[in-house]
Amino acid sequence: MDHKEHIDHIRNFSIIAHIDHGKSTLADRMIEKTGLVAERDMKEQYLDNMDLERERGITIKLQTTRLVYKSRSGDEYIFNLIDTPGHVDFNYEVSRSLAACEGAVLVVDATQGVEAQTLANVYLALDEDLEILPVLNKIDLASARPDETKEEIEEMIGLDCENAPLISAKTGQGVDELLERLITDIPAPDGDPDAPLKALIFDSKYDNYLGVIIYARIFDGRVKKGDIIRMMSTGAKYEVTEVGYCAPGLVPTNELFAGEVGYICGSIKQVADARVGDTVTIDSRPCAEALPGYKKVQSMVYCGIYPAEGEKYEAVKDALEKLQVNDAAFRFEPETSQALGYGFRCGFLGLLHMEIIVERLEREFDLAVITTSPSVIYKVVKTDGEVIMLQNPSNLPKPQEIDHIEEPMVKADIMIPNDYVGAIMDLCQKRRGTMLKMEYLTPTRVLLHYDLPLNEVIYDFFDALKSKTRGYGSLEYEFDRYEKSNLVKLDIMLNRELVDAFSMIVHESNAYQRGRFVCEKLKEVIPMHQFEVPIQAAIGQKIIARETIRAYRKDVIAKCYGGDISRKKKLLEKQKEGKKRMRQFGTVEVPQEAFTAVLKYDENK
Amino acid sequence: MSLGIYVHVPFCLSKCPYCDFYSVVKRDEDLKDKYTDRLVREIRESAGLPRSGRTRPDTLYLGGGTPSLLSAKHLDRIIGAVDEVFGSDEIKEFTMEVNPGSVDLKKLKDIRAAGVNRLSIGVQSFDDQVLRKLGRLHKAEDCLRVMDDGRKAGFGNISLDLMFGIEGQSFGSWSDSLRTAIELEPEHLSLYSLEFQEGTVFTRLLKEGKMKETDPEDDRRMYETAHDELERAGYKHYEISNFAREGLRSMHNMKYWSLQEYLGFGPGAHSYVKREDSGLGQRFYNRPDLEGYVTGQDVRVISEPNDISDDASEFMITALRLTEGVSKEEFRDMFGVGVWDFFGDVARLKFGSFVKTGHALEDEERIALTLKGFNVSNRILSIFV
Repeated sequence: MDHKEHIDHIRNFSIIAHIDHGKSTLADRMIEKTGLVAERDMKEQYLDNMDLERERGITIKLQTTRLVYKSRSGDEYIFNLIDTPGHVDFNYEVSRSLAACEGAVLVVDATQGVEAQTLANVYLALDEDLEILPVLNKIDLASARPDETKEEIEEMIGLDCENAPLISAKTGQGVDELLERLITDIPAPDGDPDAPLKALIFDSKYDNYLGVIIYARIFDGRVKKGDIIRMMSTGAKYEVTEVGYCAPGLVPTNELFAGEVGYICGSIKQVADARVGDTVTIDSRPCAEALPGYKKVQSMVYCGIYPAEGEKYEAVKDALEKLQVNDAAFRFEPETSQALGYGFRCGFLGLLHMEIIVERLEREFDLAVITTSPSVIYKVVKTDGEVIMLQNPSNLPKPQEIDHIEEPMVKADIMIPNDYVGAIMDLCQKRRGTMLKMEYLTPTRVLLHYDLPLNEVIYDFFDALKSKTRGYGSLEYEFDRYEKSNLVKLDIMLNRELVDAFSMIVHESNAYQRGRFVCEKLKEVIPMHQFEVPIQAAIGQKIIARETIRAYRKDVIAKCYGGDISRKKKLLEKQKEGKKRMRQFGTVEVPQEAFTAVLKYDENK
Repeated sequence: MSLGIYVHVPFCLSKCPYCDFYSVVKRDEDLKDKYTDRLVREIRESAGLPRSGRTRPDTLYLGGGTPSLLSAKHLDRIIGAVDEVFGSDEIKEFTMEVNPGSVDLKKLKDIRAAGVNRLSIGVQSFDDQVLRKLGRLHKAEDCLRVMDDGRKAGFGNISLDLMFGIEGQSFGSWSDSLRTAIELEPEHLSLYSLEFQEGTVFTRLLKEGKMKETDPEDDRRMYETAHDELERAGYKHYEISNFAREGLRSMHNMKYWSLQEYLGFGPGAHSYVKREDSGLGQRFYNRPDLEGYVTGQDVRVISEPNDISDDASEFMITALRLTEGVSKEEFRDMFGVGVWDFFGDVARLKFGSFVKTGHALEDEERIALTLKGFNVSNRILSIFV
């Protein structure tokens, strides 16, 4: 088989969908139907291989798999299914995965219709000139309304849905048909196998034995073991130690050719050296120009991560390094806090990304950590003209040294059923949003375009949106610009001592409410002490909110005889154990949960 | 140091809903005979137990349960066995717990004649309503009578138990009970804040929401009032829950609070002895299993031998229950180093924070808790475990 014939039998595609619309289930079904994994070995949602992903029902880390499909015509086809992450925090990764494909299967839940993320992903796919094959899922459910959904897709996205496959990823209904449609509807790749190598990194991960594994789409040329490759963005060179396919386990092969999707290893030390979106070429015969679209990932949200027990500093550092090796979007550097001692300032794509890293520290590395209030990066312009990109609220210069502060603004697209327009406009207004445009996509579906400060979005905006729209609302946002704003630093004092880990930057108009909320929350979670503990929120010298935790009054074993001292001792030991999970701030003991409790904004408050 | 002997008598006429001491409700005289048989055998066999000094006992304590349910004959056999194995001539304090309503003057005379010289009477309250709530079988008048009978029978050392912090118990009821108790002029008083122990009826009711815990503020007000009243009446508040006339503390219970040796006999009884080789502690106890006990099963459970930090920590958590607290010199004598050398700077700082807030005291000679500290003593004692 010559190269042309070979790649004519390849289809590179992604599945794009809104969360819960059945992407992972469909991927599972495809894997099963093509016989890659025996049915008995099927784990639910095969591709989401981190426990966390399965639990949260979202894809965080990409998985790529090569399926061999025997078509009805008798020909064998290779389907490279490139999975995409499913959360707004990971949009860039999605776009690079899509760039590696010729087509995308758009899965729309026929019971739910088009959601904001569906749209956002479709736009990303259209940006990459992909052929989009719409598929209506969950057709087995009584509440499915395929005709209405088709109409919605046609109207909102402009895709012809007349022949859209109707499937149930859960039962397998219609999936055989869909596999045939992949062949007819998605174009085969092209590319010149004899041209200089031009390969797109759409994912990379770290392996203890192989070093970084680059997942790449070969657009032109070929690559084999022994080649010296070069990363176009950095110029870094590596000798290729292995190439192969992902099936989804690594299957080594001799050479990867234009049109193919596979992996490349080259003793690369960390994923940051093989960044998603970068172009790989051969050092001795480089391609003329890199593939378009490479972006250096920007951390949008920062917080401090501190070991819950000071002596675990090194262990936390090791763990963060290991996580970073596998996650180019995550960054950290050492910092110190008066309250928490030695720790790290960490940068994330968003709050979900942050929660995931913290959970992985706790689960995979068995480390208890304290996270400080997350913050976006503020641009502080000092009176002497110096500009500081402020990651940590406690480093805010003195008021008299500040000319003004700018905060990052995002453009947000919020899609909601029209019943909730009032509630969401109200929410956005409370979060200092400015509506730019309101579009009726259908008579019942509204797309709101908002200009919002990022720091209003990162805390709990998404949760609030979900709860106010009974789960029907969805959100997409991207960074737009910095804008001058009236911001203040809110400090929290426990027993009159400042605890810098709780400091946060808030808009002046929200400061009072936020301060009161934090004080109330802390009163709930901080236990009684042997003395009264005042909790105060302050802006500069001005106290804006206060709560008091009463001193405890009674904690005594009245009856201590009969000689059973062991039982009393156990009781006291248990009490001591409980105290160990506390963090001491001056004279006040604060449980770890306090740090997360103040982040969760409670709409009822 | 001399030895204390405790005998657990696991029989009751009825179970009190708050009590978690081991007892069975059986009016089976034959079972009491069998229990006494085994008890006598257990005491005789204990001659071979490891103990550092072959010291003679100076206290004997019959607790329960309801020891006054034993007949004079049972009592004589038990005392006889103790005398035979350990010698009873040095016993200075011989206490027996009795319940109002379950003993009359004749019975008290028998008890006195058997050698008992101290009574601990489970009065609990002089308010019939509170007594009913506590599931006690007696009434307030029984309490007055048993006190009177006790004196008539020749007991010059009587202790009364009272309870407070009970749902439905008013502050007035508590004050009245206190006043009545003071008027009766007992030598010793034990005042207990009601505790919800695992496995009791009260705890079940609490979990089911059918009972409420007393507001800690009210509970502590009752406690602090009692402290004031009793001190004014000439009693010394010498342990978290105990008050005594000068020189009339419970010698036996003092052993529990000062890491001295005691041997416990009977089902559910605990022992602490010092090993001959190291002088460090060894705890063991009998499973609370009367059936197994009388049928001759081995019910003894031997705990891991104490190391020096177990002993030190047990010493602290018991001795700090005493008003006089821990003598630094005594600690040094017992453990070879100073108390803060032993427990370290973190413990010292934490304890210091309680000194600052008035919960504890420290001077050259001793460390101790204050009354305010007694209220929250678990927080302070947990420094030392």
